[in-house]
Amino acid sequence: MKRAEDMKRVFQRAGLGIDPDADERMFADVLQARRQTTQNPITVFDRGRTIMRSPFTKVAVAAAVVVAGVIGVSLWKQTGSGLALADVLARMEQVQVYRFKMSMTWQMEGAESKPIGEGTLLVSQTLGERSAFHMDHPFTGQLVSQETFVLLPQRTMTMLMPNEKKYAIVELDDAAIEAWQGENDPKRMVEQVLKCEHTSLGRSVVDGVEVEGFRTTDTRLLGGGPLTGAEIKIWADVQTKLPVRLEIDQSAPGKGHAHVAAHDFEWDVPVDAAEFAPVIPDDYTPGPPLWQVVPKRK
Amino acid sequence: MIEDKLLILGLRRGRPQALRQVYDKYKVQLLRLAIGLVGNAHTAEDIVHDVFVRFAQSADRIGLAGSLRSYLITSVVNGVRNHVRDRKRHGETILDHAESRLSPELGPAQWAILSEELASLSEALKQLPYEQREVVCCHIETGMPLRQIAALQNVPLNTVKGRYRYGIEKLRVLLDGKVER
Repeated sequence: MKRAEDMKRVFQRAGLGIDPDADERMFADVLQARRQTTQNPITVFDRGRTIMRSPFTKVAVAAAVVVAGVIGVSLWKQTGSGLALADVLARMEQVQVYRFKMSMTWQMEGAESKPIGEGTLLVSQTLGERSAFHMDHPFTGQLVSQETFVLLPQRTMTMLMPNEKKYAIVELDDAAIEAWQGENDPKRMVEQVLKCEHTSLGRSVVDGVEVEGFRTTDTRLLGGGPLTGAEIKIWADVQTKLPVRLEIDQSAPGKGHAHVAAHDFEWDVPVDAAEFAPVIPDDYTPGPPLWQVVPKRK
Repeated sequence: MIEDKLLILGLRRGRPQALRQVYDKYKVQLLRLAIGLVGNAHTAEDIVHDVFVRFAQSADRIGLAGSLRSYLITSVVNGVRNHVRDRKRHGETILDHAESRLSPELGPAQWAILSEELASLSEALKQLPYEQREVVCCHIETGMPLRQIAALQNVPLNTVKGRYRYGIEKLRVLLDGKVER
């Protein structure tokens, strides 16, 4: 491998300098990010890291992840109108399997809002999670589509990208499984959400169901960062005490406004384990996922 | 490895100088890797900047069992891959021929100052298919073992060995006369 050794020397000779002023500015950004993170320690909905380059898609997927995380949670304290956090928590703990849909719209500054994405999620406390997202990038028009399967018995996360005919499989170790389960524990989520300020929106009717609405603008729930105008609204069935609709609004300065809604909830739905089994088509080849939500490790 | 774990622990305990040490320790290596992979200094700077920002935001969640160095390197590779994918979906010709030429001259807000040798090397790297470029840069710039690169690329080890061999050979031809014999 003499040629390889020669080439290594070429790399070693090729010098790189650092401009000290630019370097200080870069580090100032990094330090500021650290300070913002430590000043906003609530990470209850940050279920992992999202690997994406597009700033818009980051926002949209982050919002989707937030919605997926919030679904096991009730945001409200005692409001005086009948719903109490303890009641909701007790009801939520009885749910083993639930399914819901998501829809996303994007409004460029000075333009009309338009739909750009939709998704479905099926969550089982024992089997895992299956989700499918399809997004139409508002800037580039690119179609982003991915199915994700988190299989607890098999300890794997499988991602299918139909547009690219690619797939990726990630093995989950004990720590990852434990983290995934811990972060889906409603008790733990509620305990942290209770630390946030929120208000009641009163009673109304959503999708033909009498609900009570709740609202929070605590941006720590959305991970902080460069988003503004963040708002979460939840409407819960006053009879079943389970969520009927959930909405997230957030703006990215200079880019536009994202609206994400979770709806069409089905609670305690019958489920077959086969629904969670990914089927990888024969013509798919291994490839990097479009995004990978990895349970954070303790 | 132990030094990195101590830095992460220090960072978790609120010591900003630990963040500075991580930044100073890895910035040049990550910048070199990104420049080699993406072939554009400004884009490489953006990618490495984002990697450090994400590290600063998520340091509390990074396990001490793993390697900080591998984490940062993999983050840069993923950042470049996403950039490449975004460009492809824009319908733009990427990297191989269309990125702006690297210049060793310093721009007004440029973080990385490229020597003429590095600019020439990056130009040559851009002529390689991306998979070969990734293998060559990861192995030579970071010392990442080929077996680890095979896992990163999700391909057999022999495929990576072939990409490395072909990549080196093509670089040698492109840099003919500049390779020390």
